[in-house]
Amino acid sequence: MKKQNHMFYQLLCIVTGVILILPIIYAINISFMPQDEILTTNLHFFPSKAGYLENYKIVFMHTRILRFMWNSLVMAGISSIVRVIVASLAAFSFSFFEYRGKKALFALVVGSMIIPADVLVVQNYFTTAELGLINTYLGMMVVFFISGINIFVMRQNFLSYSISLKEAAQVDGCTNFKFYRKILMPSNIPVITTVFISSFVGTWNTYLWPLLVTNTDAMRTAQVAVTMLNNNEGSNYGVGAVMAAAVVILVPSVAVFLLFQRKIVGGVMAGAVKG
Amino acid sequence: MKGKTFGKKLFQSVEPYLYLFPAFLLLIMFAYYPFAKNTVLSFFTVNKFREIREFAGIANYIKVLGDEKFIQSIGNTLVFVVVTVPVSIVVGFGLALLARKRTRTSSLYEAMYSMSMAISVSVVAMIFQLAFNPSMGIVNKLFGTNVSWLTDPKTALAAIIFIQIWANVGYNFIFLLSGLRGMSEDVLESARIDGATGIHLLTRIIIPMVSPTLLFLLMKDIAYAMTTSSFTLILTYPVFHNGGPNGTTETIMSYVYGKGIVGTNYNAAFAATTVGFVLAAVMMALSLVLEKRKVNYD
Amino acid sequence: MKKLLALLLCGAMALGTAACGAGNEGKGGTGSAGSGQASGDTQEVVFWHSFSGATEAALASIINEYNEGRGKEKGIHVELVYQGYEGTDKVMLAYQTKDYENAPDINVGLTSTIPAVMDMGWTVNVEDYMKEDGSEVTKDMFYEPLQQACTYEGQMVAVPFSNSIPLLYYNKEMLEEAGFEKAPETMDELKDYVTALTVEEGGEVKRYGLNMQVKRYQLVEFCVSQGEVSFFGDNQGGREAPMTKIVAGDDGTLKTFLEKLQALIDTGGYKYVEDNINEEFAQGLSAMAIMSSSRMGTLDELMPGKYMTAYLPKVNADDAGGAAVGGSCLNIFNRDDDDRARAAWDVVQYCVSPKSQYTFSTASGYIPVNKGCEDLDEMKKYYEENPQYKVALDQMKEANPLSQEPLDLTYNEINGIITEIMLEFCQGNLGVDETVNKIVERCNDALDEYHSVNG
Repeated sequence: MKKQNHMFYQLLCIVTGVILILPIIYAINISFMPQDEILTTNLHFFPSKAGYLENYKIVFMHTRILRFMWNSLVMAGISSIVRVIVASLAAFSFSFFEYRGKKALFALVVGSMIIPADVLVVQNYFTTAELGLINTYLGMMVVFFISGINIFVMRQNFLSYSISLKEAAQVDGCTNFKFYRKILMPSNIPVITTVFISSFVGTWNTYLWPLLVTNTDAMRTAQVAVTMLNNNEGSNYGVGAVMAAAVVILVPSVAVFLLFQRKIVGGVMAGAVKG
Repeated sequence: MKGKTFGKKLFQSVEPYLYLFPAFLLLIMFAYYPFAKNTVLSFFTVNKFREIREFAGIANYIKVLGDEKFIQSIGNTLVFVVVTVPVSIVVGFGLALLARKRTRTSSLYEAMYSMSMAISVSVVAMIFQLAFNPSMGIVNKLFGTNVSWLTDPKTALAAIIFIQIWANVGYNFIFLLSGLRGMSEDVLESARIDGATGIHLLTRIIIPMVSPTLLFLLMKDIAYAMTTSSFTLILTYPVFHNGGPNGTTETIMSYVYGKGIVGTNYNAAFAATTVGFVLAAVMMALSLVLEKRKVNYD
Repeated sequence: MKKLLALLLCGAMALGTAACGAGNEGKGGTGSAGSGQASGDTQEVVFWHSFSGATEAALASIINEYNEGRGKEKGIHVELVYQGYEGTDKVMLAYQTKDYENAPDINVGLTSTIPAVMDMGWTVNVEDYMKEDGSEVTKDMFYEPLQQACTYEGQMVAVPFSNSIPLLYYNKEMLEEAGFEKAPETMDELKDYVTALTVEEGGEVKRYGLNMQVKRYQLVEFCVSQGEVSFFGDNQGGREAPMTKIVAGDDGTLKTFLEKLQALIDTGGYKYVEDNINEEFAQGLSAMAIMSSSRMGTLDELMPGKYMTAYLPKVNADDAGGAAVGGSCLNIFNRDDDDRARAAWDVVQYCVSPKSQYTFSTASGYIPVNKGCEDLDEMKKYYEENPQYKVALDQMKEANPLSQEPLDLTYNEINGIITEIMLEFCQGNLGVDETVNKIVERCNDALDEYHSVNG
């Protein structure tokens, strides 16, 4: 009886999951459908023929999507690493030290969470131009090196981390930075991974800033490929191709996500309370 | 001897600031400086190249607050926040409670619940744009309805809210799951022994224990919802060239974008941004008050 | 110490990749966008565009031909860069930051941006080049409406390039079934056709007679085509001098159009919102649609041979203005380098030659800009096989050259205003006179605000 319940429970969980990811399944299905199947008013959730690859062929032949994705990868990867370092250092400062102005400085961090990025684009373009970073990878990445939200989440995490551990470490002659490097960071892999992934996914598909700041085809990012396929004028490759491009772009970010997923949820917040 | 201790003391007092340095350098250069510039400029009349013409005092603010489109956008944004934030947190929490116990198939459904976190905003928008399409999309076909979800003024905002909730759930789920799994089993056991079950267990024990996570998600979601414009811009601007059918999907930030970038009217854009910022700051402050009262870190 | 090292490492990584990126540009592309100096003997020309699909492929093939042939002889090499619709914005940003390096020599920009583009000091007035002795391309090689489309303050400042004109598209079978031999020519006729072609089932419309959302583009077309010719705004629609107000309200054109549109709405078979106009027309959910001629390429793929095009219906039976041609043009920028600007002019001349226009036009569906193109044998054959494209060309030729889209400075804002108010009108929330007043008032406000601030 208990076993049945248990299996039923798991089934329920799985079905809920499938419902939740229906939009993604939908996109994948559309990418394998020819145009006339998509356009009918009949319900076609699954493609009627398997193996229709035209849409994907269009994507790979008519856009330099692989090159664009590489650019996105470089940008997203490096920005995320930098973000983790910058945010964790700041969070470390906020959660383990007492000093003048701490509250005010933290308020500034929270404040930055509500500064909308759109308005800053033009001014940041000018700043970037002054730094001579137009048309460089660094120029594409530099505005993504910081995010107030990440500092906030890491601080939340660190605050739950027992301060007695740090004191114990200090007694052992450990400097603050060593504590950060050797104890704090390694035992907070879940939150680090989460920050990394959410940064990665966030920057993976940005469209406007990289387009604005670079001037050659070689430096375009992934989303540009989709935009190029998504126009209404002239000749149009169809909705299936747009979905195919969306799926292609989706793959790496989902892959990175699944790769690290264990790390996020797998770890119990080590040392959180037990200390 | 003395010099060495002095040096060490100096380092100790400066140390925490050093760790903050890279973050603040970036924040100032790319967030606060441009924002401050925008705010200062909002008190002047500027031309389409953002060059100053003359001092304007609060004229821009008066104009913007008198624009019924702007007021409508504030209303839309508030509705957006009030619906998406609690719902996405509740759904995320519900999923986290469901998935808390580890089973053999855990990794499968955990991955599915958090998947929306791995999809970028533009891809989400495109998928739902197709799904909501009146003649080709799956929603109408499935339910046999004939509603133009994204172009009908009665449904456009609801459609966007739905999309936003879906996009938020993954992130909320992951954090709440971590939070739930991180709860000390001892505390839970002793609470159960004391006779706490069901709702009581949930509200008196579990929620307080994950309150840091809940607060974080609340603040992040509010910040995002108050300053978002992505779905409006991607889904309704190409058709309506402003905030949706009869302005029903215009958010504060999409209004700013429409005025500034599209219409090169930076006078309205800067003033509107500052107003939006103030509103968002108020909501953030309220949440921080909540932190003081209700969140415990141990 | 270690922390410092970590930060340095980070910086090094970032810079290293940046260097890698810059290096890649050198290897992958044909020299980075900004190199102002001619490397060796070749003069670099940077050409920004916003085309994709078959149109982009066509342009790429034209440029390839140039680079391999004439470009090689003259020592000029062109680099094509896709910029999306942000191209013109970027040129303006580059101008503001005096960033001569990261700007193009040639840019494809909407004709409506001409006043803004001419405001920049570095934009070349193309008429100057065309007037020179021995210039390959002269003004009268272009169709008059196209000349006028690129004319500002009396000078033809840009070269027309990817232009289109609105057309009435109709489903051949459906019209035949309903007993019509040809397309409707006036809005009154259009109303009758819509009534006949609409199919209702159980209280719901299963097939609309006509699908068209009235935004700035459509509204302006229906206004300027009235009478002998009409203007939407003062100063000849903003071409003689900057536009300061809307005149379509005073001269009655706006009102007349709205009255005719009201009749259409009253039939119950007119869909006034665009969801996916191309696909719905192809699926047979609408019998007719009014759209730009640039959509023909898409429709050829969606419903080859099943549709045909016709002139935009006249508002009054005796209108002679004809539809206005619109689209994009080529702007040339001189960044303190006369030789380079001349090289760019050479490229432009090549791109508007009859042969190049044939390649471009047949692939994209845009109207060929060079009069010589339609005389080419290949072009004649193409029009025989694809009569729907000839309709666009003919409509343009028959129109009054002064019938043009306005250069209305706050183009985007006006688009938003018109779209919004027209939606309310179609929904039945505003009457004809109210709508006229509201549109005129709000557009004038926008223009006033623009002038007061931008003097």
